[in-house]
Amino acid sequence: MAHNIGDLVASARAGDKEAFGTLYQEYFAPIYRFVFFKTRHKETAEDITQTVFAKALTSIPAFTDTGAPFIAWLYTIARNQCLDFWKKKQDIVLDDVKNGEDVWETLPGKLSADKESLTREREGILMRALDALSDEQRELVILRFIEERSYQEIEKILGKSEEALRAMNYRAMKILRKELKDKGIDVEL
Amino acid sequence: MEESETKFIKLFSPLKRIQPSEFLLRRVLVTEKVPVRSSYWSYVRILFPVAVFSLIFFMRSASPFDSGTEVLAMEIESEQVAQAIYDLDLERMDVDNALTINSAN
Repeated sequence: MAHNIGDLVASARAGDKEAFGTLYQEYFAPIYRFVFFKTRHKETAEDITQTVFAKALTSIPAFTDTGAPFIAWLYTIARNQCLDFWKKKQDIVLDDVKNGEDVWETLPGKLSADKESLTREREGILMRALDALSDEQRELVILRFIEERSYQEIEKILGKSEEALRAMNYRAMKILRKELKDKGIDVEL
Repeated sequence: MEESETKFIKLFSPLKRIQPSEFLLRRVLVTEKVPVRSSYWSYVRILFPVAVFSLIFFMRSASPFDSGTEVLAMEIESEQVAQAIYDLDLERMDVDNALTINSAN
């Protein structure tokens, strides 16, 4: 990206909405994916992601630069919004939220029908494997394996030491290996 | 990065295909009134042809007499004509007066 994120954040803090718009375009997709994999429901993920950015827009003047990447702050808002969502919606039947059937509507249909079907089947297995993890492990896997964030960034987002994160990741990989092997995907291949 | 982590990253990479729809992106931007560069281009795309059309229309409808020099020339000309008529009136009044005086005498 050609823009300097630090400059954009400073401008957005000073009330430059265009700068915020650029930050928004840059970070909307990763925040949406993070929320989606936590809720596994398209509409819910859309609503929460909107709220995250609405809150970021109103709170950005109070944002303090602690040296952590700006996206870490957005992830923190997203985590809190997801927690609020689960507190408010405890009456939701888990299957209703977690079936994630309509996720495929959001995927671009560039593959051939057969290949698309196989890819979707495989992606479905991967998403169901995430269910075997605890909330914290799932957040770590999303950030590390899907968003490809460094441990230094994840430290700031999840508020855990790198050592703790590496240990948690080791356990998560062990669980995922077993889950995926049971469903016919061998990670070691 | 550990080798096993690389394998997992490769395995999970297709899930990056999950993207918010463009419609959602625009809806939030409109709701929050956050300007985006692309929206400026959409304004330009609409306004530029309108501006060009208006300019052509204005140029075609403009009269050659509308130029400042032409208008000034016309004003001077009409003033001269008015002055000539006034002079003629004065002459006619002089003639009338003379005739009146002569007939009175």
